[in-house]
Amino acid sequence: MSKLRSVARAGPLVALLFFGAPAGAAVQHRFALIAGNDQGGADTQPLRYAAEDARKVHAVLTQLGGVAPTDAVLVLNQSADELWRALGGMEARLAEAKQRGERTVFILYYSGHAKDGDLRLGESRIRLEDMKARLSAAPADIRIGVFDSCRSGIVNRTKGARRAPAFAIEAAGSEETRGLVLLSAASADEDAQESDEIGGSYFSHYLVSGLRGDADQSRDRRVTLSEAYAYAYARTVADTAESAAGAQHPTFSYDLKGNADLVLTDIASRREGIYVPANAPAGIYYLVDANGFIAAEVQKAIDGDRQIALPAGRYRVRRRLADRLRIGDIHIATGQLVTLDETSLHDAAFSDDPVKGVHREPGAQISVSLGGTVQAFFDGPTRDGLFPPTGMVGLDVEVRDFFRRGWLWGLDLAGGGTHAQLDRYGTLLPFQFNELTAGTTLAAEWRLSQGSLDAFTGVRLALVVMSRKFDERTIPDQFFATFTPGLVAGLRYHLSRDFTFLVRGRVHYLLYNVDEDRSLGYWELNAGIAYDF
Amino acid sequence: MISKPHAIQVLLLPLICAFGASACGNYSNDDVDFELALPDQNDIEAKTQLTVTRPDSAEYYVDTQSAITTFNSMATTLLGFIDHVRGYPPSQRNGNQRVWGPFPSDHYPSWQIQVVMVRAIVSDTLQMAYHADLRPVGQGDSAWVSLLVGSYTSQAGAVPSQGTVSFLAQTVRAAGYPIDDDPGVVNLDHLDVTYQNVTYPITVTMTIQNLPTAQTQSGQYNYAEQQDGSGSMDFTWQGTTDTNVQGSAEMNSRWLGSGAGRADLVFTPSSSGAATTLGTDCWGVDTVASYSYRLNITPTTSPDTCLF
Repeated sequence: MSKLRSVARAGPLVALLFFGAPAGAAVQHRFALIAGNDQGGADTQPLRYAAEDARKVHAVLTQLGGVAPTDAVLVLNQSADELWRALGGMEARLAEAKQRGERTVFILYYSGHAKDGDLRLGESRIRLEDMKARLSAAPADIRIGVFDSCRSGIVNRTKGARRAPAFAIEAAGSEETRGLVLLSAASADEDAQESDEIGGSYFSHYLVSGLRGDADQSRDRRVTLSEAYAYAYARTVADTAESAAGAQHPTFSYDLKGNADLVLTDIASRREGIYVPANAPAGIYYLVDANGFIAAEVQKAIDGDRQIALPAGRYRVRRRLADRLRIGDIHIATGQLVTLDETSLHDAAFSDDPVKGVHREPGAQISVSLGGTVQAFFDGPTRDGLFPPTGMVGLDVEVRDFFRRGWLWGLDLAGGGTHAQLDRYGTLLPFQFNELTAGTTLAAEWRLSQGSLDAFTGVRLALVVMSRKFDERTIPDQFFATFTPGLVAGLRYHLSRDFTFLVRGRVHYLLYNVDEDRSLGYWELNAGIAYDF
Repeated sequence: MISKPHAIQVLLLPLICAFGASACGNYSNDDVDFELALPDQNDIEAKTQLTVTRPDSAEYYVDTQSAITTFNSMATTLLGFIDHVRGYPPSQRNGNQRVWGPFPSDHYPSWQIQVVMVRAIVSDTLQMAYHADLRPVGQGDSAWVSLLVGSYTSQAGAVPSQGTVSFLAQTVRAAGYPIDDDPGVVNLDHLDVTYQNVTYPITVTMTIQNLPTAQTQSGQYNYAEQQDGSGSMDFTWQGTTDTNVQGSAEMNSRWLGSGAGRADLVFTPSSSGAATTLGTDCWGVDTVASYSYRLNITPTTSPDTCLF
């Protein structure tokens, strides 16, 4: 479809709003405040992808949405005060732009918990109505609010929210558009759902995927607000229809003066991505990033082409047929638009699906870590003469969200030893001390600041087998074995999507009962690198 | 004796017992004290620098080697009875007392063995008293008779010790234990050993008291070992000679760190009390006599060749 047809359909102000302005018209300046928070405080389960969704929206708006990186603020896993503070800063910048005579667009995106009319940011809260009022009063010509949270449709309730597949902003006249648009991921009585397969919430995933080009129904290489919403609505409803929570229906409302649709992303402005030509087979193409998550989707119609804007990198293309997959690799170089060649794809079994976690039980996640442990008893005489401080190396396997969301269950095995000596009435007796431990841990885990740091605390039960062999051969080898209960706490820092750095502290109780009954305690400090499957 | 556990048992035992009980094992500092109190072969053993003999070795050198072999053999027999303790955790731990057993006797299943050790700490010195007892299976505590009685004192340092141990053959014989099945102790009434390895010279004294019916009524071995490997072994026997003369025969043997040494045999008849040197041998590192003297036989070499 030609650019002229698109403009004729969407209205002449589309061009004015986004791509510059004719003589006399003001320049449009876009600002974005994007917030994501995985934690919702008490009585909520941690979300897995809220912060990640915010990152994706931030990326697509700064890459394709005309928002300069300096005009985009990303607030991840911060409190309500921090979000208010960021919003205040943004309002000040909007006011300055307005004073300069610029036309301004302000996009507020929030992904996280919402409950009982509140946005939940960790233990802090923001009344949704307060946020809406603040957004409505923001000194921008166009204010767009996107709320991807449970029951976020309440934001539209007072304005008569619509659960409709699309809305249309009629193009008529030349009046510049001003006003407020609110989108929500779910209606006022629905949960906003996440998916491990797509690595995000349904709504945000399809919103981003649509903005990258798949929502370009008019095929003018520009994705308007109504196109993006229509696409996200349709895909969200379709994908959640069979879910246990039931179908999720995004809603919208708007209060606009002027008649023009809003172009949100310009695919043509960034010739970097993948082009699916018209002669490619119809169907859904999944573009899987190097980490195994779906970066974007392409709903290829029989007679249409598609252009998807993606950052440079390596991607795997997957198309699912009834009996097999079609898979191929593409490499998008910087500034390169790669045309998908169907002949470069090959058949593959479903078991070779490159999408990470596609066969995984929802929420369950396994990680394996290798690390070192230092152990010492609190009691000095015990430490000096009975069980000496010991270094160990070990392997940990952890399963998250297995028993319930936010819980981790771990199994660990470690072994090590040291050389020490026993002082018996002035007689020094050297010995080799060895230890083997096997433990199981049940802990609660939650995310800390910026989404890259997790904390956990819980209980652990360990089987400890300690032995020593004296250099003095007349003394027989000795061993002691027992179960020891303990507490564990630690931090997990995400080095990348797959690797994390772990630090654990443990405190255990040990009943020693050979010479006499003694209640002892020991601590362990463990550090390691974990790989998340 | 009790057989040693296999390696797989060693590995599985901690796991099995941990799953079967809240805690288990033999990991004990106190047990170390008890284990150290038991004499081992190194404590009682006599050693010489030369161990070989050849057809032309000096006669008294060969006699010395034979006496040392006998001495060590008796020590081994003695220690065999306390191997029930070495290498096994105690059956009972009662404060300063440990009890091993009762175990069935490997050789005589109708008898049981137990070892009892009592610890005392006096002025930072560890003192132990122990006894190894026997009783017929099915008998009560009063039926225990001691086969071994010992004591141990530990001084500060690297496992130095001094102690005594007595082997009470006649006591268990009288209780019915078939100890005479061992031909080496048929005539033995009791045997006492005193040892110390706190300072040089390391000394071990073994006193043997035989039954009155034995031709040799008593004997004593005095072994000493210096840090440089030199040492001595004096062994004395009281009894009746083949010619029916009552008296004592004493061989005094000593050697250098190189192994070269000298031995003198002296006989003292009970009737006169006058000691007579019956012979002297001196030998070099080749064990061959460099000087040999026998009563009423003129030596062919000079005694100047003797190192002592």
